[in-house]
Order: sequence, then C-alpha cells, then structure tokens
Amino acid sequence: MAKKVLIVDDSQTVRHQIALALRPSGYEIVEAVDGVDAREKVDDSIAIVLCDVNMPRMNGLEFLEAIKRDERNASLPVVMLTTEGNPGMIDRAKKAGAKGWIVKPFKAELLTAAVAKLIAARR
Amino acid sequence: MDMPCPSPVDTYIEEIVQQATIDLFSHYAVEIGPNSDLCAILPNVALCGVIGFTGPDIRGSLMLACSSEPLKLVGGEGLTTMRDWLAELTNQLLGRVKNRLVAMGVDFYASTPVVLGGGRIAPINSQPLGHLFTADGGVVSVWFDTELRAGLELVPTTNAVLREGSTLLF
Repeated sequence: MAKKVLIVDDSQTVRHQIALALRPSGYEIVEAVDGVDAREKVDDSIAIVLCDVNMPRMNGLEFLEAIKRDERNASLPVVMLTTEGNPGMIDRAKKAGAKGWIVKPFKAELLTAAVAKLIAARR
Repeated sequence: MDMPCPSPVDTYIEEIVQQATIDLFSHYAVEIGPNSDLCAILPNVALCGVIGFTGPDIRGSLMLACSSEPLKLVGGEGLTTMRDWLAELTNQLLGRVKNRLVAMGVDFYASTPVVLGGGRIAPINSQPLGHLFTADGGVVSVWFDTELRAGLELVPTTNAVLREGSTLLF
C-alpha cells in the first residue's frame, strides 16, 4: 500500500510542487492548508509530515508542538520545509520532536531522499 | 531636494536584496540582471507581492513586482495560480534576505504576503532598489523599504544560518 505524505503549506503551488516531486516514488499525497487543517488530517495512516513554518491560523511550529503532545504521534516523522534558516527556530523544532529542516526552495531529489530515509527509519 | 547619502548598512542591504533576487530566479533556471530603465518597466508589471516585516533593529516592506513571463517560467509545471505563486516567491525572497540578515545579527518577523494586480505599480516616495529583466524581456522589479534602528551595525554571528536548498536531518 502506498505510504501517505501529509503536505502542510498555505501555498497551493508549493503543495503541488512537492506532490510532483514525490508522486513518481509512489507516495500518496494528503494536503493541508495550515496547522489547524493539518491537525484534523493527522492520523495513523500518515507516514510522514512535511510542514511549512509561516502560515496563518496555526503556524508550523505550533502544529508540531501540538501533535507531539499526543503520544500516538511520538514516532511520526515531521520535517519542517520553510524559507527560514534561523538556528533558533531550528533548535525549537528539534526540541519539539521534528526529524528534519529543509530550507526553501527545495531540491526535489534531496526532498525525496529525505522522505524515503525517514519513513524507512520509522519501521 | 537632495536625497541623503545611504549608510554602509543601507548599501549592504541593497546589495543582498539585489543578489537574493538574482539567486532566487536562478534557482528556477531563470536568469535576470539589473537594469535601471524605469520607464521601460512599469507598464509591463502585472502583479506585485508585498510582505511587511518588523523586528528590534529593522522594519519595513518588501515588494516584488513581475510581469507574467518570468512568473510562468519560474513556476514551471508546478504553477497553480499566478497570485499564489507570486505570494510564495515574495515569501521566498524575503526569506533569503532574512537569512543573510540573521547571519549579521538582525532578525525580524514577517507578515503573510498579499498580492496586488494592475498596471504601472510602484511605491510612492520610494527609491527603487533594483529593476531586473529576464533574458526574454520579462520584468522583475524589487523595492525594499526599511527603517533601521539608529546606530545599527551589522556584526557576523557565530550561529550558522542554513542556506536555501539545505536539508538537515536530526
């Protein structure tokens, strides 16, 4: 069965670009437009989350901290995908349980490799 | 009235904004270069993305105006709507500028981008920072209006700021 990737970004174009990069590797894509939307879509079927940081309503770091407070999401890999390269924000994400940080614009081959590695490591 | 001479900090910021714009479009395989012919540019601008930002040392707005050609080129097959894509590009441009400034000890928070459409878009009472053309004649234009804290000096920090395209796994 195809692994599900939850893409959280307020830009429809970015969600589409990520999906274009991952679909050839056989992933099923689930999309969310912000942290609030993403919280409703996180469940046991999601293999990995790729999440923007700066979004309206609930930003990516708030989303990360919220879902990691739930024990059921402890092993769910979350990778932040953002324009921010600030070490303070990266530390905050790492402490909250993120498994990676990618600075936009992303390189498709590196993104695909990171997703495959983190999903394999979760098994 | 004569304009005041830009400070070294102003000049540094102008340089990183211009280079960040060139680098951003280059990532999407669209080459652009500086051109100061303002009259030739403004009628061609179709959309303008605007983001405000504020921090202890700096506040202001970044405006990225484009004609449709470079927007379509950088969007490629991933492009959904021009409005959405320009908002994201404006966000990515400010992110590049921010990452350079964070490395010099200047941090700020950015707002959500808005996109305006129309002809002859230009800020009032603002010095255009740089006007850049694509190789095929499309237009990219950037304004970066800032207010700096008096006495601000840029000092390189010891914390490494991740560069665009970097992947860090924990």
